[in-house]
Amino acid sequence: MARVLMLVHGMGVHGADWATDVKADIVAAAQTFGLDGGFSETLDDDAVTLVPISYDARFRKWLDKWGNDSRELVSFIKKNSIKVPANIVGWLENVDATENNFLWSHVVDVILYRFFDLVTTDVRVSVAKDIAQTWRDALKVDPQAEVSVLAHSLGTSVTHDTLALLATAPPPKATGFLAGDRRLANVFMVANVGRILETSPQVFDSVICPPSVRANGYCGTMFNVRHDLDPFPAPRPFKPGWGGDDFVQIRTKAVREFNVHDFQHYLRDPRVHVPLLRSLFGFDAISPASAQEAMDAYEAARGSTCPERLAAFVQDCRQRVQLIEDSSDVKTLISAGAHFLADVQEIKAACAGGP
Amino acid sequence: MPPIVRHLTRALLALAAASIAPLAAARAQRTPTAALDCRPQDVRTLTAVEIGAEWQAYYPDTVRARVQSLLDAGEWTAAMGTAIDRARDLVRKAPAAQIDRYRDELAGLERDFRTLVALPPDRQDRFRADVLRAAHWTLTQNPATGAISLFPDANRIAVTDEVPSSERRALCWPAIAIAGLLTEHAAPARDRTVEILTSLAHRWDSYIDESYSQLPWELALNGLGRSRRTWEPPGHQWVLLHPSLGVEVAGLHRDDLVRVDVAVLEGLGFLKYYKGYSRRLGLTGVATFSSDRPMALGGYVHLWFPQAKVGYVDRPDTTGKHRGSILVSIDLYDLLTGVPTSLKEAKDAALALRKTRK
Repeated sequence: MARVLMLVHGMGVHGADWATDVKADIVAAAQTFGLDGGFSETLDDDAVTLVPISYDARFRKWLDKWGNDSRELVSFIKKNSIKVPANIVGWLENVDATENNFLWSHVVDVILYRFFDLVTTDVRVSVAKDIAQTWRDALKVDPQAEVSVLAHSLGTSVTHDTLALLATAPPPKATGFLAGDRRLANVFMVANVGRILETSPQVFDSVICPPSVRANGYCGTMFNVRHDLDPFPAPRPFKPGWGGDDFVQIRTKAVREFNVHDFQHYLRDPRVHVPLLRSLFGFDAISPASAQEAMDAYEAARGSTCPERLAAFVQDCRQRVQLIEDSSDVKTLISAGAHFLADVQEIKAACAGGP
Repeated sequence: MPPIVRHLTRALLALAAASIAPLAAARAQRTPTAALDCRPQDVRTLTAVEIGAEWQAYYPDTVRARVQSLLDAGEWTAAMGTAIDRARDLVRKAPAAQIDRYRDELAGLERDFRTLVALPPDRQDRFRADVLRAAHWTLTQNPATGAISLFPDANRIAVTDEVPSSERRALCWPAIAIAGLLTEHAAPARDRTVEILTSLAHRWDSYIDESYSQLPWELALNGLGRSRRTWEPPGHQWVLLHPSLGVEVAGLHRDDLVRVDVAVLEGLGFLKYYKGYSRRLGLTGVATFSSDRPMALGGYVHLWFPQAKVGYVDRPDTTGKHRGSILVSIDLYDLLTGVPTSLKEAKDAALALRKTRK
């Protein structure tokens, strides 16, 4: 039977091959349990296909347009020493400077998606088109195909919003994926920022939930994954009072890299990839003993090559998360996230230079 | 080989193999589990021997093969009726406590499916989602226990390893066959949806590529008041504090016209788009700034072709009198001034050719 896992990236710059490493990590995790032979690059009625869904190009398109229009103007204004009424030169000069600006590239995506409605809709249209196409193609290959989504960070918000609209309020006549008619097999929300960025429909009220919550729930099972030290999912965390066993909260705490928000850092943790692989290959594909063994081995493994700095970093992260936990301000998310990413960069550089 | 053909072939082969099942009985058989009896991807791996001759007629792939001729003829009601009849037969083997509920589900499905196919196409999708609830027939697996859930809502039926294999099959196989048929019936709606979304995405591409550029504050302004459920890109645009480059053609007389490069700030304006954003028409109020003259005020007309701007501005001179200038955008100025140059170059080339021939 065909199984498809759509991968939706988070904030920051994601080029055309962004999913290569993510896919490799999922296949490597599968290899631990002898499941790596079950993947296929193309849709197949007897394998798992990993399909990247990208929206970063939409942000870049808007930013590039600002940049292209602005650069010539800025050059002219400077060359002729023209006094313009507002200090817009700096703004215009750096408006698309994401490639070399790590923090800006992350922050601007969140701002554009949350506060610029035209960009929001453009991103949703693009993602809805890609999801619908992948889903449609999978069901053409096999009417029993199981289609799942694995989204990370900003991608959780984009995925939630897009699916909720596709399921309940699609464009006129685009009613081929309505809730009640269709249901995704599994939805994995990793480092979920859906609640802090929510607009309409809100995340606890939408159909993006399992059937035990609402009969027309849009996924058979929903997994919400959060690392204890990751600041991004901390403000307004996704903690619904859903009691069904088709909703699973996964908390992780192992630290192998400084950037605990990183998609791959999450996926390498057996507490995350064991449920993911079971959802794709069946619950019996990984025995409880094998799962426990993998988790124990991961917990016991050595992490950073910079243990002292890591210990201090963990302490800082813990304090940061405590401070922002349950905050309901989007600015908190942006500010805490930016500080966290800056710290990660700084400590990585320090470690590279020796402990 | 198309997958659906592969499934049908598999079903036919399984049927043939079932007739010689006793001979193959010596082959190793897997111990039936809830997953093997109920999880569609595992059910599909059952061999003829594992299925068993008495179960063959109810095997989901067999049911699908049985209704193929009806589907080829477009007889959806009859095809679903056949699947439901097989389900009713099989459900008799289900756990006693579940039989009545299952029969009710089948009766409801039969009634709703008849209604569905009688509806006009534009009403079928909503009916399938809201009334028939096709997703209701999709099985799910419990992530903590591996149990299979049937009718996975608040009153779900849990199928575990503790339930006898025959009862598991009686519960799950009809649902698998029915879910497959319901999925196939909705295929045209999915194709249409992908087509509409693809077309919509192209319109957004055109909007970003062709529309008048928007700076962040304009982008925010033009998004105001839009419903979050509006999918189409806007057909108009407000312009606010929009800087650009322009050329003023200034002077008192025709003989002393001079070119003045200026920075232009469009204070406020409105544009309307036509023909998929390739044409536009609009009006904006402008102020121009240059290095050696005072600020001028005036207006721009945005033209649909060649997507350029032309306007008129007015500034006081040193004597306090107001002097007017024609204002054009850089792209339009280059186009207009480039024409004589192009013509001259063409003439020179033609003359050179004539001389060569002589």
